Amino acid sequence: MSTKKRARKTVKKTVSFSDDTTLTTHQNRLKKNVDHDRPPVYVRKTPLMTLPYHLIILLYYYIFMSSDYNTVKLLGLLIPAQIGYLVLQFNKCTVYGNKIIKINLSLVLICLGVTFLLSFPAMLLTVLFGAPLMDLLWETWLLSLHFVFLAYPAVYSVFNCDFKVGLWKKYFIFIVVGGWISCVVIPLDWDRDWQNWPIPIVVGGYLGALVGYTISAYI
Amino acid sequence: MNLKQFTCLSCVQLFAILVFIFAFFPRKIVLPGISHRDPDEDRDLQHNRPFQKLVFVIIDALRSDFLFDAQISHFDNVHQWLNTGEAWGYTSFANPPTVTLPRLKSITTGSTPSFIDLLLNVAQDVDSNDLSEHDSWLQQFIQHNNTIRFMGDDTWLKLFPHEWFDFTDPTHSFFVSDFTQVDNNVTRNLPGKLFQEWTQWDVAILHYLGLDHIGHKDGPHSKFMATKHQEMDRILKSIYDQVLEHDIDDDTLICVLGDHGMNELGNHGGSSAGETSAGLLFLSPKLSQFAKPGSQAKYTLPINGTLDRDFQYLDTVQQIDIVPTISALFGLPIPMNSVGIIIPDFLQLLPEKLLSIKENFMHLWKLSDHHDDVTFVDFSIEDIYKKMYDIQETLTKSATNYNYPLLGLAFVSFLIITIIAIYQFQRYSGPSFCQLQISSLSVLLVSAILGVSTFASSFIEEEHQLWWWIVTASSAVPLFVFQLDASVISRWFIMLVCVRLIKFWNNSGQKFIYSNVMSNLLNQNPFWKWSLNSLTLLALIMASARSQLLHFIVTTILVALCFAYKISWEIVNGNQAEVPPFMQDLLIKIDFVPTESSLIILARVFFQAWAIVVISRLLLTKLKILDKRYLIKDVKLYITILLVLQTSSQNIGQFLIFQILQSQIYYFFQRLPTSSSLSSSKIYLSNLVSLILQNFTFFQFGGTNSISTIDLGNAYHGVSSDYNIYVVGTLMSVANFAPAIYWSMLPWSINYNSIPPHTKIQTFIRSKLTAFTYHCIFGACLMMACIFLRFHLFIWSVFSPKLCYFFGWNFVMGFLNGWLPELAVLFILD
Repeated sequence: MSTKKRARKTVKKTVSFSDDTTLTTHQNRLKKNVDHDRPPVYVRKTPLMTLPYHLIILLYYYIFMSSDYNTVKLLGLLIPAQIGYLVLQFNKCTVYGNKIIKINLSLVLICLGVTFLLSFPAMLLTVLFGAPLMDLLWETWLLSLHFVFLAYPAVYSVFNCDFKVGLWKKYFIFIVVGGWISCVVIPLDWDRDWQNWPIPIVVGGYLGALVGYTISAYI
Repeated sequence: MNLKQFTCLSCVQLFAILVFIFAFFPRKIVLPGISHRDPDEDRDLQHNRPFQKLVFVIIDALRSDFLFDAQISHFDNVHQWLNTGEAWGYTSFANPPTVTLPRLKSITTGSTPSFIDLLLNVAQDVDSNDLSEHDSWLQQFIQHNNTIRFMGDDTWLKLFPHEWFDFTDPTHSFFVSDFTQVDNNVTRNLPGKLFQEWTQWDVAILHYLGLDHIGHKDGPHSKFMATKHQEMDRILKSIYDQVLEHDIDDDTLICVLGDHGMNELGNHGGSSAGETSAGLLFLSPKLSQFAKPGSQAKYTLPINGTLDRDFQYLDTVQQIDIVPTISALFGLPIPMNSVGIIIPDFLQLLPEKLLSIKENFMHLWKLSDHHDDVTFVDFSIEDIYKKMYDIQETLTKSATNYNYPLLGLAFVSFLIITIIAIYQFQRYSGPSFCQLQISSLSVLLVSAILGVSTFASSFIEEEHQLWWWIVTASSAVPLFVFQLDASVISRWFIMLVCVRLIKFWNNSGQKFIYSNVMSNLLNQNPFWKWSLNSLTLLALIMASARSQLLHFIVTTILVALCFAYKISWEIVNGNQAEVPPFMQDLLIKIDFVPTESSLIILARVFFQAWAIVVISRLLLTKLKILDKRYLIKDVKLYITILLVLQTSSQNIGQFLIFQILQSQIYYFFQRLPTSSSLSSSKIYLSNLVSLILQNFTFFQFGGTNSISTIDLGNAYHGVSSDYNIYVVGTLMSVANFAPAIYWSMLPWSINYNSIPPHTKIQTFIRSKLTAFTYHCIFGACLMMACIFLRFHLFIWSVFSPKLCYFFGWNFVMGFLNGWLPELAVLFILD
């Protein structure tokens, strides 16, 4: 293995929820006390609609089908898949105030740009959490792009709903924790290709996002 | 639990570890006595021996590619000889541990070393090293009345009695920063003692250390390497010229070898390809009359790299194969414990080819516990060799015998201590035993993670990664605990930048070696290095300015002494160019001329001044002349200055980062809610943070779990050549554990500043219990791993060193450093 690297967990949540007036699913039942300035937001518990199937397929493609773990190609597939997932899932499942809100297409595009820009602070955090500081910068940036685009549906929701609502926090946390746990395989002396930076972290992020989008609505 | 019970528990724990180590490290069965042959046969073989004279040149840490690779080697004459066939080259496999003393034992006796030899290499004064009673090719030369002359590394004289040598000129090997003088001390004897008195000796042993020193200091790609290669090459040429001049019938053999290689950092001790692949070269005009070894005939030297960079150039032989080869070439019996096999290429030189092979075979046959005779009628030479290789493989592996009852006893008693420790730890943590507090739970969790990791050799080698993993996880904690206002966020960010910088400072572990790390960058830019170091020391003075005036003055003096010493040390050790001129001017201004002897005096002045300051500070506080409030802070500062003195120059800057990081951590601890029920939690938390940072920074100072990275460069401050082993041992411990000692002081101010005096001892016990529980859980797992994996391939290269480090952590950090300074401070505070 010629490339040397260090790994660690990655993207912290990229939006600051400084105000903890978080409304979580528990409060949904109190629909009578809807505060109209800050209406409750929640994701409906419809597992068949919120399951990110595409992440499973992408992971399968990445691990078993792509030649030598082509991270760039994977990113190319991830972005359209995430947009599609967002449109489907958001329209069905996001309740804002008393109504299910519909997707705003121009905001989808704006969010794409914002997400792209967010990859730079994400990269900074990745490095702070242990990515190589002066080597492998391209790989690290790719990794942060993956992370921010995994978070893309949640980023969109933040923009479309309310900045102050901390509901989306856990989506970000799940991705980061996935990346953090997956680092364990890097020190092992098995000398496999998939131990190269940043492959395990990418896989970990996907798994984290998979778990996050699946069960976040329930906790 | 009171202090007495806790002391007992700690002592029993240390004792259990010691017993375990004693039972675990096998002492090899070494056959006594010296090989003899039938006198007639012996006379015959002696008479017909192919070579009369041996020049045995050891170039320390001569890795195979230094001899053969076009990219790095500058041994031009050697390449030429290899191409003409006057020299035969090999890559020789050096059995780990790849440090000089065990390797020398191997090279001379032909046996494989045991792990205990590695430890003895560090504590060199133990007399079990004496090989005067054991069989070796030196012994055989002596038995056959040959004269031996020796010059070079004095390790040889620890192994062999002085009387064996007709002439000796030993050099001391520990001043690692000296590249030239060590070698000149060897070379200066060549004309007088070797060339002019050519007929008066039979064996000459030269041991050159300079190359190893360059490796330790600068790595295998150092700018000094090329000139060193050329120097060595010239020396070989001059010896070879003498051979051509004196010997009409070509009966001198020059044998050139590295006792071990080095890794990409220039260290050795482990079992990586670079460390175990040493170069080997036989040189004699006679060799050109015979067929070159197989793969040498195919190549033109120097070779352009190998596949996979595995350092295997030409043919690979075991290093111990040198022993029977030399024995055969000089008609000597094979030494008693040798498990080597005559290098097949040399068979063509031997007068009684079959006889020698039979002798070699019978020797191995008997060593592997066979007592019956074998008839050779049906065997071809290839068959015999095949069989010998099989026997050699089993013999080199089975060098272990464990003391099982003792092992079990130590393990069980350690388990019992672990259970007591966990019980006590839990009991203190909350209102009831079963109620789990987050603080105690996280201590147990960290211990369990680290404990389980000991079952994987790569996690032991890369332990720093695990600590970093834990550091990143715990650095996220403030985000969840505190209200996120601007000051928390900014401090959190500073904290993160600090730990990342510490992470960036040095390489650790075996797997990932980056060239772009802070220590390398600083070494390449000495001006910045020294600016950063001055800044660090200035920061220490600034920290003292908040306290009393007297303290400020005293700190300034200590820091000045420390700084002057660090600069002078650098100058004396030949790095004058690295120190910025204006700093050198400062030395001139105070009329200090750095020489080796004045350096020792300066260091002693510092140590004495330091001791006086600390002791008088403690006494004056006890007598209530000085204010109590500043005591903890001030003592911490004094200890930090001592640690800076014991730190290599490229790492001093880390203390600046430490200071910044520490103030962020204090900030977070201050904001923790302070209710009395939480006090135990807070003690546990602060000690957990301290424990994590101790381990994390220990590895980021360049420490690993391999013996090869033990820093000896800072163990000799103020020590003259007739050193006391305990002084050097103490200085070595401080140097290697410097960052850990710094962070072990972190909980002092958090825990002791604002509590009533009568609870201090209880606080102390709870405080120590955290690290104690961690060490117990971790140790129990490690011992279990060692027992289960005792036949693992890496048991000697990975698990055993870790066991030694574990003892070091317990004894130095847990016991000495954990108890003495803290109790002293507590006693004064009462």
